[in-house]
Amino acid sequence: MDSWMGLLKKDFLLMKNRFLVFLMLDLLAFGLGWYLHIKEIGFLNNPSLNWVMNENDFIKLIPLAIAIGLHVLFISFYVFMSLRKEGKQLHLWLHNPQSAYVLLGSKVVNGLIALIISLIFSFFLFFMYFLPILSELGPHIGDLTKLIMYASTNIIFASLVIGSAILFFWVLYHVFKSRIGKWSLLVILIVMILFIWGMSNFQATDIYNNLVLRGEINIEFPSFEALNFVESNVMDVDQGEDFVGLYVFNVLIFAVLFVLSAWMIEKKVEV
Amino acid sequence: MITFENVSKTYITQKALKDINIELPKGKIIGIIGENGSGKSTMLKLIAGLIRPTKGFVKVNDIQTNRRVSEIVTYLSELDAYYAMYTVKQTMDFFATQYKDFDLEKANQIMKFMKLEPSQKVKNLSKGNRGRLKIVLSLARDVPYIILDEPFSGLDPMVRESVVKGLLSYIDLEKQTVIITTHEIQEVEALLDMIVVIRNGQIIDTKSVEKLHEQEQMSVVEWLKNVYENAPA
Amino acid sequence: MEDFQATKPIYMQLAERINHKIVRRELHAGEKLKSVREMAVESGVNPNTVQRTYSELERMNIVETRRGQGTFVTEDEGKLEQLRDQLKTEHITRFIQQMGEMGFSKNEMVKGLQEYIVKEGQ
Repeated sequence: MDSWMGLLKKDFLLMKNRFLVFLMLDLLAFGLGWYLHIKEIGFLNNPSLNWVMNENDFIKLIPLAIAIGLHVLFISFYVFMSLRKEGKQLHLWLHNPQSAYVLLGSKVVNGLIALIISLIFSFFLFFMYFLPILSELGPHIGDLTKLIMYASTNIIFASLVIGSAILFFWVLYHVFKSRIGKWSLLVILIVMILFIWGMSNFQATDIYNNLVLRGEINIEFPSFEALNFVESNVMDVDQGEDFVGLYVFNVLIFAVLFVLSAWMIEKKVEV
Repeated sequence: MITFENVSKTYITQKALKDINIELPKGKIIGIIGENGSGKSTMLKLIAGLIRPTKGFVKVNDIQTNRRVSEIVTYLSELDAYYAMYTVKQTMDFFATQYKDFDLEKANQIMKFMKLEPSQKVKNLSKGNRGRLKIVLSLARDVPYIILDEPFSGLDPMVRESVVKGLLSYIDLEKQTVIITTHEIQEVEALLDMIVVIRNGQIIDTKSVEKLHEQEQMSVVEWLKNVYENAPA
Repeated sequence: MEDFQATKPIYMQLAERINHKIVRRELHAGEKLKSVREMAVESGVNPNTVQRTYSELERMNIVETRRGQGTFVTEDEGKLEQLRDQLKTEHITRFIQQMGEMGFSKNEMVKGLQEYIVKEGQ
């Protein structure tokens, strides 16, 4: 237990400054929203009007919405940066009696915690935009919470899967590095492209449709019905569909990549 | 005991070790001596299980080594590696969480002996003091095998002396074995029980230091000159 | 840290240094020697070598190891007197032998010694 906490703490401190940069980026997106808002609407003489949310005023939300969406890449960036620091002194990181699962696990768990904190922070900032029209939001609070939870869950799952892929490629790179030297980066890029190509092809197959897209769930946001006009009828904002199988599939991919990475660390990577 | 059985190691195209056979006995301070690129660091990394032999076996206490041998081996790289965000004390605390046999009290003692300031950030330490810290971290473990890669290189004579004294003060040869690579032979001659001379990935000779004095009336440096002259380059 | 000659085993050189201390009465009969570790650190020598020095001295009956207490100079004054004589004889023998090899007669040696001592005394 001590060794696990020790590793977690070390990995947190290793990335502390980078993590603060991530949070600053969230804040930057928030600020950028205001900047676009003011540029678009102009700074009105009546300050209270600045706060009012008009229908053509969604521009304010866009940067932060994008930032929140980009969180799917959060764990990959985080884990990659953390691993890169260890990569420069592998003999320090790997000269450790803990198993590779523990060493890598600490990186992923740290990334996950950092992701959740950054997400909470971003959604908090998002909520700040709505602060002046809180009274109008009243009937939507339930659905909004549901939407945030739903979006967060998906972001976290996606981020974990992409993160595990980056982890896998990083380890694979080090496996190649001690065997083929300077060509390993090129090989890794090719492997990555093949992997992405294979995955997207797989998602178009019947097997995928039959095996993965199972256990349909419908998520409804009844109170958003009135907002449907915003998206000009292309899409209903008041409901979405999802599949339990998709989550299972993601968990499986994550598990396979993680186990393979740990195995390669134990058996194939050299310092 | 550490054994190399027919060990070869090839990096990409370069042969680092060629068919090495050797037994390193327990309870001794053993020096592996050779020029840069002779394969001595490779030998140590093999013992630490951080690399794998291309051919043959490396065993510590009859078990083939892998990374997890760090449970009974402490390995100190020649490279200057540390976690920059830690202070001296935090580094010791971190090591204490990772190794069951890490004795924090002993670490504090050695730290004081080495005149290190616990609150100082590791990245701000001088090279000499980082060398001292590495010794603190290695010797604070109650571990059967202590493997030090070039612990003296690049250190000024005063630091070297404190490293030697630290070694002598805090190792226990009844329970521990120390393996050092070095090219500063003269200063550590009195420290070593046994020397292994390696050149171009091959072991040229092994010798007990005291036998050398007794039978050949030679210092290690003189003997090495002979060995090198007689061995094919 | 001490310096050692390369032409002689370090354990013997250490033993000689201890013997000299005993003969000079810097170490008394029954006095405790430094522990192996202390001695190793002080002289910068491998502990196994120091251990061998102590074993060698023990074999010569100059020191004795008491279990759990350490190593002590022998209480046997006679033994120490014998060591003193032995060292004296050894050095004189070597002196005479080397002077002889250079062709000095015994008379010259005695005379030379006397003159030297008188000069030193002033």
